[in-house]
Amino acid sequence: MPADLDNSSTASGEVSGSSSGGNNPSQPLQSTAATPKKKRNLPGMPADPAAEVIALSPKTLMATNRFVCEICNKGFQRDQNLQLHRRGHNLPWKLRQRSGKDVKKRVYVCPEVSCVHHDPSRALGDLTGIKKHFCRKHGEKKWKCDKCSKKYAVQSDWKAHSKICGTREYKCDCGTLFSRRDSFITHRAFCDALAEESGRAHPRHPTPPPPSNRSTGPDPTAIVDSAPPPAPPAPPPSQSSAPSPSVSPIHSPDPAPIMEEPLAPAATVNASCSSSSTISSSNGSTTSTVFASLFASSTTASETTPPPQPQQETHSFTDLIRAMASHPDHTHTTVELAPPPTEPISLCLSTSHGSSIFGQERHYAPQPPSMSATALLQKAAQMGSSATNASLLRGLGIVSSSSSSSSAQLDIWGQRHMEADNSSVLLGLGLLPCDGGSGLKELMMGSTSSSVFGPKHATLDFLGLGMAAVGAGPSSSGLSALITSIGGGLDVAASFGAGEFSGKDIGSSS
Amino acid sequence: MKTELRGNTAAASISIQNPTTAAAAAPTISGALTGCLGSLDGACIEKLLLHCASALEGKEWTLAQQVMWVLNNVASLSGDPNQRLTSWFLRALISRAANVCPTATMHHFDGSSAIDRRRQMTVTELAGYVDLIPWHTFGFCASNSAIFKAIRGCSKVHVLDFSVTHCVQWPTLIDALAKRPEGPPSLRITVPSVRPPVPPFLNVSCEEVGQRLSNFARFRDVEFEFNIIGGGGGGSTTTSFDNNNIALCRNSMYDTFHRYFESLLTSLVDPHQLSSLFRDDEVIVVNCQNWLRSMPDDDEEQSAGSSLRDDFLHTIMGLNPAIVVVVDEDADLNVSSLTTRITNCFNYLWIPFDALETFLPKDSAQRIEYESDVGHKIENVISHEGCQRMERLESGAKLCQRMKNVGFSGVMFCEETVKEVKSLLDEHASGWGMKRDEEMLVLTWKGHNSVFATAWVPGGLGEN
Repeated sequence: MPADLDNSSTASGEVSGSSSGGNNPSQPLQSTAATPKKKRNLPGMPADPAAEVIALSPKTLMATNRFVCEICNKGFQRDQNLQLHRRGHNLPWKLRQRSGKDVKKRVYVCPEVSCVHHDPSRALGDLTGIKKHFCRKHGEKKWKCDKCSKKYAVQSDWKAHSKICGTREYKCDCGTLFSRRDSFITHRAFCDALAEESGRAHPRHPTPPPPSNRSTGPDPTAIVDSAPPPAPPAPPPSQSSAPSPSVSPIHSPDPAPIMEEPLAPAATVNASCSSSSTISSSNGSTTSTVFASLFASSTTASETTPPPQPQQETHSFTDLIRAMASHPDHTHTTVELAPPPTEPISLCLSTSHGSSIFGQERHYAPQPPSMSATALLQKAAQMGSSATNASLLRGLGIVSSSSSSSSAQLDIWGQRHMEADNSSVLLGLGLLPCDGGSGLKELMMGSTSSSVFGPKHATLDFLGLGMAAVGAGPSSSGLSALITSIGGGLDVAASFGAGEFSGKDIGSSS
Repeated sequence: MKTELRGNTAAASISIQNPTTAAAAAPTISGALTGCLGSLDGACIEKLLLHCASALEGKEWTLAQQVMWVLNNVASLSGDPNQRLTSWFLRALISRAANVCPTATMHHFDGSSAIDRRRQMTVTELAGYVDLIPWHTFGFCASNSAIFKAIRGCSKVHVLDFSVTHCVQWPTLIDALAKRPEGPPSLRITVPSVRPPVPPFLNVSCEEVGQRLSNFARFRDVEFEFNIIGGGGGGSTTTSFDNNNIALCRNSMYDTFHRYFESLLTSLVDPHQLSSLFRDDEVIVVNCQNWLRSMPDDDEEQSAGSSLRDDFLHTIMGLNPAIVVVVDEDADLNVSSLTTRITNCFNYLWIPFDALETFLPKDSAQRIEYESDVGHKIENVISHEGCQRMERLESGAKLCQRMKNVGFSGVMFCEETVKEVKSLLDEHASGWGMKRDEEMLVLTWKGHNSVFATAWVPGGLGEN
């Protein structure tokens, strides 16, 4: 289904004429509980910030023919069409003119709470768009293509696909199939197969062959098949440009194989159910391991083999952190997808784990995070006061420690004054005894200065609050304000201080 | 539940426990794990990001750390688009916090060059990469179509190609020219030998790319010549950042790029040099694709009256081209306020993430690669300042104003072009659309602007 030209910012005639005008008493606009009609003024919001945000119910969105002729019961999607139909019955009819004064821009959000378009800043600009989106994304895929296996929820999508499915196919000499000519041309121009041909007399490039077995679905799939991971379908000639993971030591191998690698060793880590073993075994090895273990402490008892996804996300995060620390003997190339061998799995939700910020492992992979932001923030608040010692940021050498006098403030935005070597990192992560002296001497500071963490922090809990004082200090008020703004109705204040959770999000768990 | 946690707590001696905090470990989080996802929507995440950024700016480390922790639990490279996007943002924020800014002597890589050392693609892979979503091909199609129209009847055409996609734009133009009723013109394509150190990275040299283009042109019976404005010694020394030279730290990469570019501009205004670069009877076409954003245009330069970006445009205009096509992404990422940049970034870069989600599975390597390229951009925008912040994107509207200020007139895209672009989009996922906004043609995803394409001519010659 081709996207509409001009489908973005102008309210379509349909909108002002029919949908929300209240002329369909059987299906009034229903707001979902979570998003009442409201105006939203987000900075940088792509659409008109004064636009009215409309939330329709799933039923309204899925309804196809809401305007029904009373004579013959024929249904129409738009009131205009119904009115025109009524003329045929010699009934009085009236076309609503689009009134010039009421051209208020309307945007529509998706009622599906977990959907990205549920957020008003991602609202869609026209009614048809949101209906189609809802149907496509959250609706049942009832329409199936005969020739290939694709399924569609929206009939027009299915029709559009059927028109082109298997109709045109271009085949490169290397064997790759394309259904679009421009992709074919672009590929062919650079294809190794052509390079081999150059110099020989040849006819025009082959006309599209009759529809053959369609490889898979759309182009991207075809391209994906020929794309990076291990080898393209065509045997690459042994030219310098042939993709080869082993070509250069500098460049990492392809992502896909990489992701398989750590599963084994990581499983070991998992099985040990203890990151202490990780630490001890790798203590002399890399900062990365330390970081990694920070991000994924232990596995829960139920965890056996880690699924690939958390693997991958942890890798990149671990690599990220590892990259932060200077690592002179680092031979790593790409970061995101080439994790170190002893990578533990998955990011964790912190249990209140003492000095570790990132605690228990949570089975992350296919599921979205199962906590609300409020709960997460509350948990952040729960972490003990030693978190100041275990400051990740300090570990990165950004801030000085609280009590030691030998540390100093870094000017982060200016020249880099220090090298965050292993020890400082470890220290910052609370992995070394924080005794002010040894670890901190490792930090090369520009100058001594008053510590960022003044005395006020040393005596406060993680939130930067005194045990009794709520809202003391800028950080704490910041977080409490944040919690309040995000948490909405939860009783946030009660959860501060003594480490009690407000009961709402912490129900009896499964 | 509690027992389990405690057991794990003891076993997971990630850290040397501070004894006092063990007590604080008591409240279990297991229940929290079953909380609702609902509140973690884009607005919420954006808020968290902004809080984190302002905490970092305000040196409120504890708060920043707390927010990062929360974000860390939201982020997931393999989750839904918001989660994936968040993880790149978080990474950029951490990178900013760490301000790992390599000096020339450091061999290790910082958070940013970690992303830099991406896998380099083959040309074939690159062709597939640009094909994934119409993000680039939209611009190619609109530009090539406008160029084609502008050079109707010309027999000698010289294209100055300033782009980051290694000439994958040109095969379709060559193909179209080959089928011209009056026959193809003789075509020259000239590229600078240096490109900004941004993805996509190629594993072959500029010369190799040119060679393949030449092969293809020959195959289509189009007279063709490929030139590189070398950093020294013509086409032989290609100081391409792609094949690198990992030891080259980021600072000097940017410096080199800027210095090269300044010298390029100098040579483009030097009449003596010009005569060697250009021939009298050829029609000049300038193609700027995702390029202008790398031209320095920071605050100091703006206040000084003219930036390298403006100089570049003036120089281009001085060549009296038949047409100048400018394609770039439609977002304002060159603002000085960090929080505004984060907001703009977040409210813009969700688009490619969302689009990829539509048709690629969560663990697709291609998708991840594409997303990490976007992550690269996020990191540059958020965690770098000064000359290291190469990504200084300005929106289409601003660019149009800039072009007009320099003295260009906009050329409207003709109906034929619009049709071509539309049929290109038809073949992609149905969320892609297009709209016209004065002289801009804008690619939209679910109605939101993503990429704009424009065409210009010098002076008052345009059809505007």
